[in-house]
Amino acid sequence: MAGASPERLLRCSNLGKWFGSKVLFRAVELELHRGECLVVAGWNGSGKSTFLKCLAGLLDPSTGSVVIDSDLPFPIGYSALDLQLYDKLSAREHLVFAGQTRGCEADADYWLDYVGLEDRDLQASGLSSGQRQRVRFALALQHRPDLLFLDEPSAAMDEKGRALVAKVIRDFQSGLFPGKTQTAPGAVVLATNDPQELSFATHLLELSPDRDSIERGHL
Amino acid sequence: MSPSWSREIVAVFRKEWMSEVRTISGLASTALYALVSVLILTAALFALKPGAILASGLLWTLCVLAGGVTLPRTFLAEEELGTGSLLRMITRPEAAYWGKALFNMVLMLVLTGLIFGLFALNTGIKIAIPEAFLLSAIFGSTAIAGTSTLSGALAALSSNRATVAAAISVPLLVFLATLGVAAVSYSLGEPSKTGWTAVGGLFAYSVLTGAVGPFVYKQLWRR
Repeated sequence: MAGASPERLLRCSNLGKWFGSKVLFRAVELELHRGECLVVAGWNGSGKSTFLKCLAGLLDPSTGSVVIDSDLPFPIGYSALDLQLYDKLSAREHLVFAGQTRGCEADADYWLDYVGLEDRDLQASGLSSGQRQRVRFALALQHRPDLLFLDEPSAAMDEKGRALVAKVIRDFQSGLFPGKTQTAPGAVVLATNDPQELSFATHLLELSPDRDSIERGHL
Repeated sequence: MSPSWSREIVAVFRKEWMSEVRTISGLASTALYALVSVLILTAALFALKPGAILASGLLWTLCVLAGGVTLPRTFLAEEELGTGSLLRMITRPEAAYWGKALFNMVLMLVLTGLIFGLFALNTGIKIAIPEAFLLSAIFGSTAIAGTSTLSGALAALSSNRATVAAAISVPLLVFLATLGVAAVSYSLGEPSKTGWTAVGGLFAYSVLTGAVGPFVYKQLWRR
């Protein structure tokens, strides 16, 4: 993924993270451009989720830096199973809250329709794990970010949910959602253990605790 | 539509309000604490009319304990319940801080009104300078709320949150209480040349914690 490009959205250099003596990853160099999908693979505990958190700005890396080239005020959409929802707010209230802070609350019902969530006025504490995952997708997409980070998106999802994951990635990469004005294509970073999801990859990054991470360019 | 500070702050305030009202136990226990502690104190003072300094000391003890214990929870709860990451993804740190500070200020104003009102009614204390009494209550509330919000925000991302919150807030609140006692006792008729200065000090404390808080919190926004 070397080489500068005007369409570059994300660049990280010498990225590393460790907790005490446990090194999760080190010296990761990558760039991500519009329309691309980076799949981050690795065994459980290899640091995939931590890597995404570092990219999303939720964790400070131990070394290196992450630069996001976007003019949007909220350039990132992020979905992960450990991203807890507010138990006392409904799905619609989550979208309205996030919409108000990001300037797009009128779209709440569109995105809940898009992810196929029907129980939108039920408090989050009453939603199943799959329904909660759909709310996270809606929250990640609602503000039309440039970068979408998905951490194990198919976990806790049924077959329809898996199809939704594919639709989300496809539509986001193209920048075209049904009934919405087209935006510039976005870039996706997908952390997964699911072999089926490797097919989404334009690039693959394998994290390994035993050696430097291996990045395989265009697939 | 681009985000604006006022919309973001109001959105965080509304989220806090909805979450707290639906949880109810937090608000109810705080109100119950204020009510019961005032009633116990006034019962203990039965037939004894407290002087200005004793009355202001008791009032501030009640307010500081009520606020200092409950208000830092707005930030601590985000981390304990694991919703802190979601908040970080959908708001800017300054808006999150100010939305929570605003909620704490409204809550503290209601609590202080309850405590000051019940105490004045039950003990029959004479308010010599009503405007100083009122301003002391208002600025005292906002200063307690500002201090508690700041200490909660600073402690939220540490591993031992409750201890750190207490360690930060106690010295700040003790100094604040000293100012508050001076301001309230002056309003209750205690002769003082620095009464209004103490009221001004409460105002300055509110402004200072409100202004510094978001900038400090922004530095802790990422872990």
